[in-house]
This record gives sequence, C-alpha cells and structure tokens, in this order.
Amino acid sequence: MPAIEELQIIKKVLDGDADAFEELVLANQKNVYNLTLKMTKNEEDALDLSQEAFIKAYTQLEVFRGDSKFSVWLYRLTYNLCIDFLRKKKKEQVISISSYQDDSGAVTDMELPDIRELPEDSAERKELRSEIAQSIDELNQNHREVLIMREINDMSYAEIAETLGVSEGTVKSRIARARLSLANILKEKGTFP
Amino acid sequence: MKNCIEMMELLSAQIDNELSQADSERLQAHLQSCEECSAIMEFYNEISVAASESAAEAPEELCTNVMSQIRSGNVKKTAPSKRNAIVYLKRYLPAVAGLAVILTALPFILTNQPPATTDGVAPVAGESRTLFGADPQMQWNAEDASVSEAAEESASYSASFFDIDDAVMGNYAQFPTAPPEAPGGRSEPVAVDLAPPPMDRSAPPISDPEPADHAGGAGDAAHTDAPIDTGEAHHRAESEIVGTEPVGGQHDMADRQAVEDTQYAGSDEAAQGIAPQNEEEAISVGAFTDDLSLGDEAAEAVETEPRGEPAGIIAPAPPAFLTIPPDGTGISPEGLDGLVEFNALISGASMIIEIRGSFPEALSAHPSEFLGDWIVWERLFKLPQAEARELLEVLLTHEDITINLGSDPSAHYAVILYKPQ
Repeated sequence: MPAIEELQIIKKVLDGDADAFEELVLANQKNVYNLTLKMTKNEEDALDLSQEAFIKAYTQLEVFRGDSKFSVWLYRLTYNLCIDFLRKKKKEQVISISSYQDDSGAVTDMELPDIRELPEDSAERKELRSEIAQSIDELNQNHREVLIMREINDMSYAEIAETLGVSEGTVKSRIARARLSLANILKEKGTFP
Repeated sequence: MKNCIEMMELLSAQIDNELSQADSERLQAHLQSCEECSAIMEFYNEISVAASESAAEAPEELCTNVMSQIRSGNVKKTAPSKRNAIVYLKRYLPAVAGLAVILTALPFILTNQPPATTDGVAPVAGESRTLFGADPQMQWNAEDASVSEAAEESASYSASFFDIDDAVMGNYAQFPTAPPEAPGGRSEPVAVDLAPPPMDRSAPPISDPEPADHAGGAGDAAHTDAPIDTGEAHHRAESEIVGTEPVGGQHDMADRQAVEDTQYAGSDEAAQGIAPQNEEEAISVGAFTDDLSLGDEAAEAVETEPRGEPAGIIAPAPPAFLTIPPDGTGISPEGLDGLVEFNALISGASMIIEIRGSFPEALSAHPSEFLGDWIVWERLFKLPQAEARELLEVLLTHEDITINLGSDPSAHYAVILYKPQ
C-alpha cells in the first residue's frame, strides 16, 4: 500500500472512522504475522502478538508522524513487542551483546559455502527450497529477523535499519551473514554435496 | 578465494537491489570468471524464492479479532495504558523566570556530572559539557508526542521560528509574570497526560523544587537507576517507581499524595474533572535516565539492540531512544491550557522534545529573540532546519546553558526545555 494511501486511511481513522483501520490491518497482517511467527516460532504466540501489535498501532495512531511509512512504523512496533515477549519467555538470548557475536566480525570472517551448482531438477529444486525454509528457522535471532524482514516483508535496508534501530551498513552486513549462515547450515545437512 | 569472500556482501546486496552502480559492475566482472560465486548468487536467489513460498497467510481471526476489539469500544485511540506517564506540572503563582531551551543531539551525551561552570563559550563539536542545572531524571522523550492537528497540517510549515503570532503573544500579555489561563477561563488545575503510552502513570509529582544548584546541578538530584538498555525500559516501567524531581528538588510527600489522589489516567477529557488538592497546579514530569552517556560498548549496544518500549517516567532511557519511538513515547506538546505552548514547566524542570534538523551552521539571531518565556510547540516541533540551527547556536552561547555535542550532524536532535530558577 503506498504511503499516501496509508496516510489517507490514517486520517479517516483519526477523524473517527474506526472501521477504516481494517484496511491497514488487511494490508499488513501477512507481514506482521510472518514477522511474529518467525520470531516466536509459535503460531499461537504469533497470533496474539500480531493482534496486540495492531491494537497498539490503533491506540497510538495519533503519535504516528508520517515521516516514515506506516507499515515500517508498524513493523517496528511489532518487532519490539516480539523482543519484549521473547525476553519474558527467555526463549533465547535475544537482547544481549553476546547474541550479536555473529555480527561482531565482517562477512569476510565467515566461511565461504562450497556451492558448486544447484539441482536443476524441478523436484530437487523444490526440495531445496523446502530445506531452505526450514533452515531459516535455525538461524540465530539476528539473522532470522533481518532475513524475514527482507525476504518476506520485502523491506528495504533503510526500512529494516529503522525498524531495528541500526545502521544500514549493519543491516547489509547482517543480511549477508545470514545468507552465508544459511548456506553453511544446508551444507552441514548435506544439501550441497 | 579471498576475493570471493569479499564478494559475499556484494552478492547479498545485489540480490536486494541495494548495490551501487560501481559495486554492481565490480561484482558482475567477478561473476563472469567465478563459477563458485555464480553458484552462490543462484543460491541466494533460491533463498528469496524459498522464503517467499514459505510465508504463511495470516489467520482469518487476526483481522476479525482486532476489529472486534476496536469496534467494541474497549480500545480507545491514544488511550493511555497503565504505564502512561502522568505529567503534572506545578505552576508557580509567582512570576516565573524565563524559559531556556536546551538542545542536544544524538549521539550527544548528557552526562550525569555536575554541570560545568557556564562560560558562555560555544562547545566544540565532540566536547561534552553537562547540562546546566538539569536533572536527567526530569528528562523524558517527547519525540512521539502527539502533535496538534494544526501542527500535523503544517507539516510543510516553513515560517520562521521567530515569527510569533501577535495573536498568540497577545494572549499572554502578562508574560512572564503569570501563566496564561486555560481556555474557557478554566481556573482549576489540570493534570494532563503528556506522555503517550506506554508509560507508568504512577510517578509522583514534583513539588517545590529546590533551586537549581548551579554548582552541583544534577549531582544533587536523587538518581536511582543506572542506565539500562532500552529493551529493559518498559519492564522497569511496570515494576519500579522512581521519584521525579526537578533540578535539585525533592519530593513533597503531601503534594505527591495530593496529586496521586487526583491522578489522571490520560485523556484530556478525564483531565477536565480533576482538581488537585493543591492550590497550585501539579504536574510532575517523567524521569529518564540519570546517565545518558554512552561509551563505545553502550553505543554498540544501542546500535545493535532493538529498542524496547519507552521508559516513561520511571525507567531510564538512553539517548538513542530519543529518536525513533514509533510506539508511543514522548510527551504531548500541549501545555496545561491546551494552547500548545510549553509555558508551564516547573522551575528547574526540563523536558526533552525532539526536533529534526542538522547541526547549526551559523549564529544569526540574538539570544533575547530566541529565549523568550514561551516557545510555541508547533513551531519548535516543525522548526525549519535553518531556524533549528540558529536556535542551537544561540543556546550554545547562552550563559545559562551548556550543551553536549556529538559529532554526527545528521542525527536527530532533542530539544530540552529548561526553566531555570
């Protein structure tokens, strides 16, 4: 949904048309849900957090300044909710400097995946994609979230940077490392002989 | 091989169309002669496809449940959560001192040290100077303060900060002797929620602040919390209560009780019916971190750690938190009288409001023109870059203001309104 359209809907909502908010929900629910799902790895938690994110966005709509896309603002809100949720559940060390150890070095510190060629057979290619999708969940928190934001939410580096509160350079590096990590995970699984 | 490793980030950025023309050409040249990297590039494309194909559809009940809650009326727009900060301003009946505006910028540092003697010398970029008389606990994030509709409509506002409307100023003919009356002649004190959720509304009010200690400054304030990362902020907001104090001030238990008895949950409508037992209007200000300084490690932590919900009045918040709080931090720009002017700050109190602008380049206006007693919020909030710079320059040289400077001129800036004793 273009930013201008978002702002028009927001204005309607702020003018009292609460039903108009549904358009924003429908336009963003898939991305919000996938973000919460990939971060929590639990459908029930993802649904709860997604609902909470939209409700919070609704109640906070007046403080949305329009200097970024509403969707990005929403994703950041969602992301923060997920982080807080995970903290409480202590599922992972999501917010600790040590959890960023994979990002502490340059991409050049990582191992180059030994990928000679990918399967050409459509069935094998389909299986590869299935393995990739599963392996994304095995990435560490930092890698997983940037990859989801980039690949599923189709967010730009700038938007991801704004959502995470990091620089674009960090996003660029983190995504590169995420992809490398994914390749190495698959390599260890024997996907790449 | 080494060259291939260096190409990995370019490969990744190329997939995302985030590569510069020059880097793209360099990458293409490499791919023409490197089968390994070509295979990796193809693999990265497969990641994109696989991720897209694995995207789940949102459950139908998601939208249904959300809209059901909204339509039921159980959810109110800008309705304060239990963590909303309740901001009570204590209005002094005696004549008030002029209002000083202090600007700081990210990654500007507000140290917790006693303020240096003001010498009126403009700080050098990168130099750290403590905020004169400012109690860091009194500072809170107003970036996401709700903006009046007029301010929103004036998004392209470009008038000079100094073009104070005669109509506006005319309403305050008695400045600075007494604060203006509320619209409609409302004389009862009003407590207004000036902080969007989530904030803790249980913060006690400020009362009878002691005069700012020019020598000891913030050091005299009771700082209770060590700086914490932003992600922890809201947790503390839920479980801790930190007294909020003006510079050098201490809590007045009687006032605190008086205000607590009339604590307002947030909406302006609710505020109408609240009459603090005190004769004076009581507005306590949320407190933030007592140590906004960032060392390298902390800066990295801020850089890499996601920001949690705003700290509110009881949880400290690092300065990096000031810039992007999409989920409701900040203070409403409206003053007690709803006239969108910060004219009711408690003496010695400070409030952080973010403005966006670059580092000032030139000083042009006289201090007296800038540092009037009353600053119109929407003008400050929408301050054009040029005016923001000028204002910053003036504040840098004001004898009662010290500013900590950072080296990033493109960073967002927070404006700290400080009312000296």
